Amino acid sequence: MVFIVLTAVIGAVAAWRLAMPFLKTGQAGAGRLASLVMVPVVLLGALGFYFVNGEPETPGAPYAEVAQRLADTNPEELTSEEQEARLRAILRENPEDVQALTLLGRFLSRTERELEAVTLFTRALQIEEDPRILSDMGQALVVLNNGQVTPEAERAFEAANALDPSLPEPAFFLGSAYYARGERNEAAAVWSDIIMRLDDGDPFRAAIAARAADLLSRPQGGPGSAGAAPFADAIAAGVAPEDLAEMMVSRLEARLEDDPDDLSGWLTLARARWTQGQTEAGLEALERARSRFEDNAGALALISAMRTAFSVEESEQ
Amino acid sequence: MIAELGRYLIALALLASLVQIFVAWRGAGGVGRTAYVKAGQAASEIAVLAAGAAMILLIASFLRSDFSIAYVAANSSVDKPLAYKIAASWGGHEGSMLLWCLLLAVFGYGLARFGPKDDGLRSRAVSFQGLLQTLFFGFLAFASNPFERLSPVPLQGAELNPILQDPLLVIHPPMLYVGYVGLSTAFAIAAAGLMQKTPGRALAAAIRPWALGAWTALTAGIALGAFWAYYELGWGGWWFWDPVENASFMPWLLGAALIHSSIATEKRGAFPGWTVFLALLAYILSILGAFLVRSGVITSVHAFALDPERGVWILGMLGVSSVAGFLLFALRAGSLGEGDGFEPTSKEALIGANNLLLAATSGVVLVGTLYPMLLEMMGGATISVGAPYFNAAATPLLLIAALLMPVAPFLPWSNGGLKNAVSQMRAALMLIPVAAVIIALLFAGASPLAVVGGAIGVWAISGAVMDLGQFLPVAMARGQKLLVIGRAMAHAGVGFIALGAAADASRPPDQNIALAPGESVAIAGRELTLDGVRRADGPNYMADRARILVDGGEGGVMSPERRFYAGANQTTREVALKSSIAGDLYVSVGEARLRQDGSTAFETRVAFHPLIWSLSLGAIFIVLGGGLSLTGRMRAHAPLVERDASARPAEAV
Repeated sequence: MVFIVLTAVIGAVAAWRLAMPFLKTGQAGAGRLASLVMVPVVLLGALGFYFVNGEPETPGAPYAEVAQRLADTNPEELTSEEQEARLRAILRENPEDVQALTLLGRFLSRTERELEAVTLFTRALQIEEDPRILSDMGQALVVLNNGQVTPEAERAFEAANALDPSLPEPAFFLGSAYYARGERNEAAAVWSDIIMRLDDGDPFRAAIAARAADLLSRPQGGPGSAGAAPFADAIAAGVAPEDLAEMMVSRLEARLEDDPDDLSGWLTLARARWTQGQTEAGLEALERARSRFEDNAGALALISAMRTAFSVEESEQ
Repeated sequence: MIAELGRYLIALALLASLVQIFVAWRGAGGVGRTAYVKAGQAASEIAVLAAGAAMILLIASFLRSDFSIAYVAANSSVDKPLAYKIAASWGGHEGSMLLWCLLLAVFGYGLARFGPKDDGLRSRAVSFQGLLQTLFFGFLAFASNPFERLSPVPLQGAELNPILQDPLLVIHPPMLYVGYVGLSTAFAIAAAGLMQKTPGRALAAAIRPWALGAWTALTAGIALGAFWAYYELGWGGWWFWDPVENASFMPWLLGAALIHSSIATEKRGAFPGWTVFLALLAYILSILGAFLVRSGVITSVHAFALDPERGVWILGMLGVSSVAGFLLFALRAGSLGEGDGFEPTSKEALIGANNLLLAATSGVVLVGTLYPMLLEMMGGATISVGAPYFNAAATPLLLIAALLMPVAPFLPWSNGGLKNAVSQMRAALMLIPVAAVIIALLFAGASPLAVVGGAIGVWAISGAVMDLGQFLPVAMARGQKLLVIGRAMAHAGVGFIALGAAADASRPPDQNIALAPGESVAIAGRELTLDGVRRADGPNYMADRARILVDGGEGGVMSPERRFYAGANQTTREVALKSSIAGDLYVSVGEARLRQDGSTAFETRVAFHPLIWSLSLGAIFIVLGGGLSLTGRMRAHAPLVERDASARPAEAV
């Protein structure tokens, strides 16, 4: 209604302005007729052009009104997009709201906007040092760098771990950083440690154990301790691949006799034997590891995870 | 309601423009014409007020972040800084078209109030302007409405392209559009003059100030765009010969030709048909520019074919304007009359030669711009015509024009006077080989074209100085003095641009290198060291800001940035410049890369642009020269009268 009145007033003023020259000059005949024609032409013509595409019933949606509606609505009734908008609105009002910064950062991390998430976590950490936020930031950095635990992410995980050693994520990613650098024993120690501190029913415990066992049981590449490829001669001599694999596994077996505290080595041996089809030998390697690490609950969890993986593989065959 | 009110106001402006056509036309003759003239003026007022109010409402919608308007949602976000919210009102397609329409209406009102003194010519010009307004307001109302609604309403906007979020881009489009649209007045006056058979000299006198004002604004707009490209796009160029730039360069070239030929027509009656033809063509090329930029054909002719509505509209407007203009020209060009003859070494001859060169350059640019599209349209290969073609085909023509330019002020009207002019300009002529040798020595490895260009630049500057020294003392009235100063400044500006372009074309190779903190790169005798990189986030972007020490910090610190605009999901480079009389040190930083040794290195682009300030100075000189000439023109309509009879005539050229 207001719109109609307003357009009518504007149209009338415009028509009056156009008709004025004819009325002022006091012309008779054609001039006066022109002024009379002008009024309906302008009033109706402009409305006619408007109504070709006009939507007079469609209300505007200025941001202030939208933000107020979001603020007045129960967050649980909002869509994820609306929740994001609400968090952003809170941060516009109070850029130092740590809770909003953290929640928005987590939301952005989950929706593949890690770069912005890292910025929000950084801002939150400037206000309050919190192990969970540090951990969230580290994880966002890891995702941002295609799974690589960069030095910046490692620093965040170390700080988080120092503040709250009971948090599983920082410890897991710290272990991953060690593992990526080839420091398997350190990785195994960190993972075993966090597994020991988690409750048996904690879903993270099983997940970390399974992942750690999988990583630690993978064959270690690179040159031998002497710096030269240990089986270069055999490869040059054209030894069959299966024979070469047996040579490698036997070498690992022999090394474990000398250094039985290498958890990663035991897991690798078990997996290698299992892969070679020597399931008994694989299980035996696990049993030997179990007896070796019977006082280390974390290590035992890793060994159990490996055993579970064998069982799953067995049932699938 | 704001959006719908805006839409209504556009409809009202369209209707007012339609009324303007008829009542202003009727005001050119017939019974009771005074009332019709005033009604035509009133119609142009209504169009201006309605379009202006619509623009204000659009800006208000941006400030309120009303994403129920599709154009606002596509070009803004809640967190964008205030200035860029305002600039976004004309930063995208629909908003820029509203600005175009508003300016058309403003110029229509300007014509109605301050147009040609001949009442009939003025009324008809207002009527033709009304026709141009109607075409564009129709396009705006029915095919490109900035108040089009969006449903469902998004919670956040899509953000204006981050590279457009720059202080210069707040004023670049309006300035450019003042130039483009300002040329519509030349079109309207020319068409009106043809219609009522106004003699060529009177018509040129009526066209000239409008063309000069528009061309000056267009120069400023293009210069701002070139400067923006130089520091914003991150690769250090200021002119790329891309179709968007060419779209503005073609009317600029024809505008330059027009303001010069109109002088010859007004003063001596020479080239009346050519002047009127240029007045029509300059604005038609402006519309062609709008078509190229706004229709999508530049991206691909297929993109145009997929969504042809806008393109067809603009093509239609181009067709109507061209047919109307050229048909009138074909039918009425004979009425413009013919001027007196002139000798081949007279001022008219040189103006004519320069006009041909400028028009030929415009043709070369037109062919290079349209050819790839026409080829693709006809099913041929997809090709691009770039700098090698334009530099080879257009630059020599421009250099010849710049070579002839300084001589014209020293030549007399009608009679030959080359010998006398050369004698007066001896000192400047001698500078050409000296400048060429100095440039060749200073810029080892400079191309012959750059050496020639630089020498011609020096010649043009010294010619302008001699022009000033020769004719300023003999100019009597203040208006005449302004005309002489304006001419000299504009001509010197062309020289500075030639010099700057030649120097920049001879710069040492740019370097792209990955730098880790503590590492250095050397360029143009300076050592640039990356001291470190820190976060420097803005309101709607995240940024890494590098700290680069020049000569270990003794030469200062440069701080380029790499920004990420999350809303637009786009990364930009903010260049750091360090200017000196020798030129600009230019640094931009890019992506960070992890090296195998664990250190982080940043992609860095380093360049040195010698004498680059000369380009900016040239543009400023041309704009000031244009402004002074316009002011002088308003103050003094009469030809310049020399106090000293022995001095050569000094009409502004």
